[in-house]
Amino acid sequence: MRLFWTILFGTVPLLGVWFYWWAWKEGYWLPDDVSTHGHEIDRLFNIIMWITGVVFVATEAALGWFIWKYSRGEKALYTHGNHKVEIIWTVVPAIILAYIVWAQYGTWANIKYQRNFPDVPVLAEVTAQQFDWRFRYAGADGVYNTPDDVHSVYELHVPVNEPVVVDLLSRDVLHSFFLPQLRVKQDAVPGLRIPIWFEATKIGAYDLACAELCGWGHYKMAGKLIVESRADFDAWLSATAAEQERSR
Amino acid sequence: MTHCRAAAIVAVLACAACLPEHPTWDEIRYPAHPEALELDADLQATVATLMEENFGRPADPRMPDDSLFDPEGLLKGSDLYRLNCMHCHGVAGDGNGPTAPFLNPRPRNYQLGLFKFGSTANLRRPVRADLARVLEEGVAGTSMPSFKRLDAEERERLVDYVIHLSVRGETELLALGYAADEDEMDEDIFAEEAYEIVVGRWEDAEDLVVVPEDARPVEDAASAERGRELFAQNCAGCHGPTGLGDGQSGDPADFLDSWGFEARPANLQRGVYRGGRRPLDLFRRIHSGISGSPMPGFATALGTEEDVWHLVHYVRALAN
Repeated sequence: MRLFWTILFGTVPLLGVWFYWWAWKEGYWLPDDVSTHGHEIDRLFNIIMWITGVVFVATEAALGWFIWKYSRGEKALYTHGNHKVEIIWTVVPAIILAYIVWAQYGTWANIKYQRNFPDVPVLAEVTAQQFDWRFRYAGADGVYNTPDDVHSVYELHVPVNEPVVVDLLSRDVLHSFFLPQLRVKQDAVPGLRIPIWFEATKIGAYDLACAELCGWGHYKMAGKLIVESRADFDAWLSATAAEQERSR
Repeated sequence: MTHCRAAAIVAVLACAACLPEHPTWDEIRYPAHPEALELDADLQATVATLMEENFGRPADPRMPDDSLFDPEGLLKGSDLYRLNCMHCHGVAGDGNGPTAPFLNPRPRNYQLGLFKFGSTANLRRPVRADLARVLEEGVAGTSMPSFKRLDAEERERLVDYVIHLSVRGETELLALGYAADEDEMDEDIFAEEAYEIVVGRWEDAEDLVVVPEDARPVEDAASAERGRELFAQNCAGCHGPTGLGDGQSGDPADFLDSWGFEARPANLQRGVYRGGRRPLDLFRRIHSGISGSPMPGFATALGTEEDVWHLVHYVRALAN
């Protein structure tokens, strides 16, 4: 029995590491990064993955070792604690946490602090609702809630290689605006207007998903981010505006 | 310990035994319309048999002929409908799926053949493009989302299936009505007095699309001002003097749509247009009304197309 349990628990870290390696090798990994800040997010992801990975393997190995060493049928003994060990297991994680705070601060400030946002007009308003995404562009006058606003559903068009700011709104409950290929994720909160910025670096159609369980239809609350050249974007915007003014 | 384990197994088996048995998808029948219950048992059975012979069941949907569309794609439509639409619109398209009671406005019940936001005259069947457009754009301000995540071919199959459910529902209603009045029903009566009438209504739709004859007049202050006068005379009684949707007098419970639900005049200041925001859409709303809702068409009352356009301009101005 002792051998069985030791092997069982010892297999967990081995399987974990193998699975991690296999997923990476087979391409079940993060989708291609097509934004200017994505590599920063990926760097942080990797740092945290390594820290937790090492801790995971060490903890599981210790567990296996303890099972092996202390399962000879001896009676457990009571201990009031060990001051030195407690200090170690408090200080070491604290140092790691402090390191993570330090390592991510610049990236977080760059992406989330409004004072660091690119100085461009808001390209579109994104409205999340159960269960679709609707978009409104300011139109020729650059002002929202005027007759020339351009409306779109499902497809958010943005120009490539230009910093883009969109305002996120919710019509009903909490949603989350998630662009996996751009490493963008931001909760939408009813009553709040939350600006987001990103810059896409590659032309293409990318996923837009809701990343906050928002109700029974959450799984199908999808959209598309269409990244296109400035000329294509302008052409799409004026074609959509023209269709919206159709009278015959 | 052994006793406990045995007891647990018995308990699990006992629970499994009391779970209701669900029919497989292949066994599911379209539920009969509630009005069928008012007929005597023989007639009920005759109508039910004719319905299934002509329209099949969800796993094997059929049309009696291919006069409206090629029924080949119906099974694909049924599968897509089951995945995407059924939980709101119901197995038989009666607008009463499991999630329907939580929604306001309620999901469309197709069985009357009425669709609120089409391009045809009031109370007429929509054309395919109208249904396709609703699938593509969704209905703004309601729980009907856009289905652009399906491709155009899939949306066409859904249009087939929605027409199938609508024709099926309307045919059933006519057949039940005839059976109740005349106390008889057979294959020929079913075809002549129900199915063919319904198909005729759908076939007529193409010729009933409302298209403005002349170009839209210039949208300026004078046009909006004329629209404001017309609004006060024709619309304020329901939509309110400032378009807030607060003009109704009387009990709102008496103000029902064809499906029996309370209908509220739109708040036109919000700039949310369920039937679409193009001037053409607003023109059709005012010209033809909203099928099945208490909003009538104003083509006759206004007299000229130009006046409809003035109203469109005023309504657009209200939202800004």
